[in-house]
Amino acid sequence: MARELTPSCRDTAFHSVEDVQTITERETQVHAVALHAVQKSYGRGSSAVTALKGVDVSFARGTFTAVMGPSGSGKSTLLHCAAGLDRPTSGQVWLGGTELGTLSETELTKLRRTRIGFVFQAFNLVPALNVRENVLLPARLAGRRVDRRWLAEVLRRVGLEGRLRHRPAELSGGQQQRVAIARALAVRPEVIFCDEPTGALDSQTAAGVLDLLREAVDRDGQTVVMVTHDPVAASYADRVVCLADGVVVHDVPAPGVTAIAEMLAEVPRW
Amino acid sequence: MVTLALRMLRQRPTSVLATFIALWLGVGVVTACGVLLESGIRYHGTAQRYAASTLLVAAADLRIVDGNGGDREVNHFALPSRGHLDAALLPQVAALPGVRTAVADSATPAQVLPARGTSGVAAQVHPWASAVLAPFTLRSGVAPGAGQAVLDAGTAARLGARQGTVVRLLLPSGIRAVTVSGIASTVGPPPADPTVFVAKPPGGSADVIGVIAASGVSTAALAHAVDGVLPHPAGDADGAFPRVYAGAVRGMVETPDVAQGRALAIALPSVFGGCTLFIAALVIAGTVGLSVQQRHRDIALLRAIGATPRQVRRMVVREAAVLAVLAGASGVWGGFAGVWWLRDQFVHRGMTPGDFTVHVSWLPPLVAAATTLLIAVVAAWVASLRASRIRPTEALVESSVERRRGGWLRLLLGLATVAGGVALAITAERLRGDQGAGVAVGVVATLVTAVWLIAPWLNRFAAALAGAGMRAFGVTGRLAAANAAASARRLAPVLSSVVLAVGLGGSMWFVQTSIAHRTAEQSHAGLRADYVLTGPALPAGSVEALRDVAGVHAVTGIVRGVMLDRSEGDTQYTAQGIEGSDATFDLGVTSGSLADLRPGTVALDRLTAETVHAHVGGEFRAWYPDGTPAVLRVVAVYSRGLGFAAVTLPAQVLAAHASGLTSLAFVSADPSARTALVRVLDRVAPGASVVDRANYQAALDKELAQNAWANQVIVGVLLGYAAIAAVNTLAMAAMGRRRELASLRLAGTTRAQILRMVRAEQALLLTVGLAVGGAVAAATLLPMVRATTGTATPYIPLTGWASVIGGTVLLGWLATLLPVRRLLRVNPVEAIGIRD
Repeated sequence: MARELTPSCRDTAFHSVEDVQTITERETQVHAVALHAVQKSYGRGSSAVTALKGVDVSFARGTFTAVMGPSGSGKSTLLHCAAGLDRPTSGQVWLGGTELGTLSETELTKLRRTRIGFVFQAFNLVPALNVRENVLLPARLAGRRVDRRWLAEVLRRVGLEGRLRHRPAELSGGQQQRVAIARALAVRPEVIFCDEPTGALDSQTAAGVLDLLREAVDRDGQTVVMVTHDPVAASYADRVVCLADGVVVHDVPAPGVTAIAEMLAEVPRW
Repeated sequence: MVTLALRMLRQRPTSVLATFIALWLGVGVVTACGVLLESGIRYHGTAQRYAASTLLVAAADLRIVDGNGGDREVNHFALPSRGHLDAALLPQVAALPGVRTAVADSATPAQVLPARGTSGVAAQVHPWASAVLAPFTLRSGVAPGAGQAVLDAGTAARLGARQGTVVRLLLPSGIRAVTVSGIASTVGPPPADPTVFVAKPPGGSADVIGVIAASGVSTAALAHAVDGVLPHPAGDADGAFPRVYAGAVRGMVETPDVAQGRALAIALPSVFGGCTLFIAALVIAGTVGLSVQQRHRDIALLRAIGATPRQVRRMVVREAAVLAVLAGASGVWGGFAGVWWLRDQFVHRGMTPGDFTVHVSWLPPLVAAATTLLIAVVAAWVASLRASRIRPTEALVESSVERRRGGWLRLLLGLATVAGGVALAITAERLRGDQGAGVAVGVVATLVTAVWLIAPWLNRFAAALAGAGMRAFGVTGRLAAANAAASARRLAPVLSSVVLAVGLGGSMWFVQTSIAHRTAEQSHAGLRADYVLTGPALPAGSVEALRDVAGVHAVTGIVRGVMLDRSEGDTQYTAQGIEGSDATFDLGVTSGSLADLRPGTVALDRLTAETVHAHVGGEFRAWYPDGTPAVLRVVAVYSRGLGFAAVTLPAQVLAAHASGLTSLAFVSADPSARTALVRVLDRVAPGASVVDRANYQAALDKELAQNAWANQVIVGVLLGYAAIAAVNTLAMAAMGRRRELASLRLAGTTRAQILRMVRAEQALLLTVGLAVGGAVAAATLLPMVRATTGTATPYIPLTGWASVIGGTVLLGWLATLLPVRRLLRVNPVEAIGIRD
């Protein structure tokens, strides 16, 4: 579905601003996140590196997308731009009906803590806080109350009810990642972004974490965008977007593990 | 957020401890300064001799008017000696309604000696009429008549004197034998100084009028009435004028020494407290900055999951505020302990009179805690600007990368501050005397701030410079060079704290040693006399009597006091009055001649001449210790002012305007004349002693060391503070390398190699710190030494070099290697865990 939309998005570059608005408004009905002609360069002059070379991609509501690609393909940059952690050099990022480029740093941060959830590979939790406090942190930062029943449900789902007073250092890697997922779910965000969430985990623990993400999509209608280079992890997704050298080279709905591995193998390495 | 801040603090004990120690010491020292300052302000001595008086009239202050017209400012400075009062004043005051009694008083220092023997009691001689002001009442005997005296009970007991006993009074005018007519005592505690009453005061004119109100007359009404008969100076007239003193300030009139102690108790904490606050600001900015740097990843994570830049800033600032409040609550007690110790030392060393008391109120500790809190918050706010610039994506990258060296703004600001410091140093070079020394303290402050600003570039420059050499030492050298280059910014607070310690120690300490050394040197070089006669005042005529002793070639009588600056009433010049020969000492006259010295003329030391822009043939305007204006023609300028005195006058001129001067005599004589000298001395000035030159100079050196004590305490405490700050930042920086060292070990670096690497880095850092600190010290020390000693070369004792260099190296080593050793004991796999 996103595939079909992409060419039309490219065309919009030549339309008037009003046209863009109309099109994107239509899109936001279906899409949690949409990137239009996103370019990102680091550095200046001869040492400049372009990580994204005009990417158009959208993520529909209630779907689980895996973003793949070799190291240096720009997948992490894509995630950072889509999540409002970083600003594109040019192009637009829409979260629902909000264009992130128009927001100030503080507005962007406020948007992140209420509408976006994060799960990173590591260094995910605030070491000084216990499990419960870590989960509640985004809500606390936003000065919001958390629905107690929902919180209990989230904690039950990640299986950490008994460890609420533990510090991150006292938990295993898999448990820490579950806390991170609980934290992401607790605010009921529009999208959860995951950056190699299973990168530091063994396959069995990883499966548990991926099941949790899948469950969030299937039961709660969450939108999940996950960067990974593990074909097994990607196979949990509804759709695999593959990047190479800053552009989207494949966009396949729910391929199997083998198909993903083959797809990755033929992607040109940078 | 406060809970979060507190939780995050608990997670980082080293950085918390470092900041806390800096704050605690800051609060402690500032509290001590504040309490001392308040005690000084409230200290007026104790009215004992004048306890029964309602009010006193005296010319005890020098009035100096600054500016003119509307913004005229009238300042009063306590005089070292009370000015004489017009004899016509007493009858006018006595005739006022509401006055029960008005009596004139004067105090003449004297030795009370038994009829035979040389050991006496130093006392003050007063007219018997003034006894009612205490009041002293006769316990036995009768009031003194001509040739008689009344002793206070204590003095009588010490001398074993009773009614009818003959005692001798050694007065400035000579020895007088008197018969004890009675013994008197006070109802309250006796005055600190032994008291002798005679019928008519030996000094002549009165310098205090004591007034006792008639019953039912209020002090205020009486003060107003008395003030009405006093001559009032014209609006802009400077000088000592009679004023009315009522209440506690009567103590200052009674004992002019109180003013000296009071000035010390006010000046010392003012300078000291300011320096401490400055150091505290630098240190706290450094430690908070370091802790932000080390929590860089935590902060990035908070930013990613939704903390706004403002929230991050608030968190950092609140952490510092919480620490400052805790430090404030506990630090003030340390300050109290310190101030009591200081008070005991002051009294013990005679720097303040014994009745100087510590006055504790809630104000100084509150101000100290609040000021420190303010500094902590401002310093943390500056550091938090960096924290809020941390980008959320930095939480996602594997390792923390050294950020840019810092903005161009910082470099420009730093260079501008360097320029400012240098300009200030040049100004200090031009100024002379006290002004120069004051500016020089500002030079250290400015230059250290500048170093803090440009430290990232300094570090990088040093790393580039030393890199080639370090790389020659194999892999550890390479690593060290790479680290030094990569962590230029991280080490900025570390470098500046080392520079602060070295710069401060190298300037404030060595200016003391330079002054002491120059003083001793000049005194040793200039003293030609073979013997020095010291002890109680040498009465008039002693010089002539001594000169006539066989074998004596030359005798100089010397009285020592001060002269007050024409426009700065609190600036004093050491002064000596000389009589007799000028052959017993050599002042190092550079122009003019001492032979021309007579009443109406003066000789000045070169530094003083430069300060007041005077030259031979020109005019020197100043105030005598009793507030009499002095307009004197300069007849000579000499170089050995530190060793002798800044101002040289004829002895009778200085003695006429001051009481209680120290007097001594320089005698050039054959060794055979010594016995004869002692015999003559026992006759004309019993109790004085003959000291040969070597012993006199040894005693003088000891006294110099004693006088430098207050400065040594200041320098010691500030230096200690700076050193602790340096150790703090060094240890913090070392503890923050946990992950880095762990990954090096995982990569196969051995413990020994890591220690070698750290040592090489440390050597570079300390070398840069010593070099830059040395430069800061030199820029401050040289103008300061020139301003105070007149010579460009400072004197730095061997122990000074050793302490500054050795201390820096030793502390730097310990503060880094001990934490690193501890880090190396931890399993690297654990150390690389979730925190950095």
